[in-house]
Amino acid sequence: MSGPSDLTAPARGARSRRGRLAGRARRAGRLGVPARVWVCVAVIAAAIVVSLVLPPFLADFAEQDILDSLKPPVPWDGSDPAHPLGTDTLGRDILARLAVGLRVSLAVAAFGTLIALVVGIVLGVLAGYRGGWTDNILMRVADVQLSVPALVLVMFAVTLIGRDTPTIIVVLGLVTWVAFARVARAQVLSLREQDLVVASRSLGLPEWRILTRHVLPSIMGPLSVLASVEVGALVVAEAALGYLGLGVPPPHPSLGAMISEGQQVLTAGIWWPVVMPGAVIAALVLAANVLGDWLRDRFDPLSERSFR
Amino acid sequence: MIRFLGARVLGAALVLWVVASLTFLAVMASGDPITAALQSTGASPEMIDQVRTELGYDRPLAVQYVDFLAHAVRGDFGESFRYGKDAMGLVAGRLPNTIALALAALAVTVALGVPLALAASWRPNSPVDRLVSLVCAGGQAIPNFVLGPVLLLVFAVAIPLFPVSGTTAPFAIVLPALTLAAYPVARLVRVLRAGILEARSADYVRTARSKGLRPSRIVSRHVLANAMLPSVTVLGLQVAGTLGGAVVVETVFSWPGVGSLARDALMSSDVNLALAVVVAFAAAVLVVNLVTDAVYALVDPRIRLT
Repeated sequence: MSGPSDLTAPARGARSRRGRLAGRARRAGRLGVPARVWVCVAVIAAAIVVSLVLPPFLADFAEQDILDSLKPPVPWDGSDPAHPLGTDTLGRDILARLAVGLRVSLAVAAFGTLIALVVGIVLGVLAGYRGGWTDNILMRVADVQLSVPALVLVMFAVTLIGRDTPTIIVVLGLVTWVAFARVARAQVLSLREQDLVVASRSLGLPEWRILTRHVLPSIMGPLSVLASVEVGALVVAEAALGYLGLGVPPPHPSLGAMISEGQQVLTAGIWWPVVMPGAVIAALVLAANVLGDWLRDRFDPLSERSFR
Repeated sequence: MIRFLGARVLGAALVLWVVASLTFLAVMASGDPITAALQSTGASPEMIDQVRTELGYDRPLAVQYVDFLAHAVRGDFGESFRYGKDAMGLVAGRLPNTIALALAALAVTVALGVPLALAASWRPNSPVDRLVSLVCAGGQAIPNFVLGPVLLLVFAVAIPLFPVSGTTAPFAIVLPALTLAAYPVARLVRVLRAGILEARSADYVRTARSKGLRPSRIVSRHVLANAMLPSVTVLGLQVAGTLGGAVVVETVFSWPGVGSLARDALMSSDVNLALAVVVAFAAAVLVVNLVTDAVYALVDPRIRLT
């Protein structure tokens, strides 16, 4: 058969669910974790190590040297081994700035996600379990928040409150909680009527115990998927703030601010001040997304990606 | 249908009122905007007081709030401090550029997304499918403020096909639209691909085949039509994100739209303009959500809006 007719029959490559799972188990190592997931874990771990351990051994991130400005990264002509990733317009070492800027990115991503997770779980579980007006109020609050683009909301809040790292963490965390609350609520709604909860209730267990010992563990799977994806999203959000000039104020480096500074010399064909921080962000986000996809496959084999 | 729309419009108006009130109160709670704006200019305390009285910022908060609402419902958010013009008028002046950019991005999303999804779902796990999924992973991972400059580097600097910034050159919209569309394309391909694979093994497609329908008709009327539904939802949910993305993309390409206006307003603490922009963004999201619901009912005759 030729032409589009191929698309009118069941896909030849689509295997049964059992076949898929067997194939996945074969490809994955002994721990059931495929190689690409280990690569993602390694990328994230490397980012953490570089940002925490490397800076004392590198050039000073704020030291300017106009004579050394715009040195290309190492294999290119005119590069300087003292600046392996090159220098920016002011002659500052890009590797050192990346490492220090990553600290803010990772702190914002980790603690911001944590705040969103905690707030989202508490409110989402309460709304789903209690129902009634608690649920109603929560969902209306979510409606209001979702009607304003998250980035605009964050920009607005940061200009009003301040541009220091703790403020950015709290603001991003409080903008992200809705996603977690929705997932938690939906999970609890379907769980509420199931035997394990009904049985606990008829045994006379106190509500907080049912919630913490029986409901919470059952909903952590989907929430961990979301958390993984949100870590990547918050890295992007922090960098976007930096790019727009609303992130951590200079001279402290931010990956986003580095890109916007680099863009000024882009028309001269000088690519490394933009590409270096850009590649770091993209690698981090890609790692977080692939990790999230893998977790999704683990916890929910019938989801969007299950044909893979 | 009409009752449904009425209820939805009422709900949207309510949300808009809450958004406007909260942003207004947030601005007021964060301190006096006039003092903040004038202190840096070196104005004396007497001058600041005089301006505050002139603009009515010395009145009680409740009076200011009612006054703000009374003007806001007529689209009057006061004058922008920076431009000295009507704030909502400035937003309206920039709006056509943002709408053009958003529509171009939507066109790119559909024009790239549907063929890519068809190609990927042709044979699952084939090299083509893997390539498409790789491209999509990239589209989801590379943020627009990285993709934009890289596209500029390649297609405006190295190969000068498009202008570096502005709206005047004939194809100036291509690079901003591509940048803005990258993430929605990736989302659309993933959802549509899964939908097509599911529809292909559905009974109605087998029935259509056994009736002897032309393959092209089966694909367009049965496979794609059914796979389209979740995609409309996903694209609709993407709108708020796309408007947020417009802030960044318009800044990258110096595109004079509402997004770059939002950034300028916030950078220069232009309170009235910032309020107008936030309310305009919320209104845009609510309108598009309404439209998405209506499109949903049009695409799927099984859905009745009640």
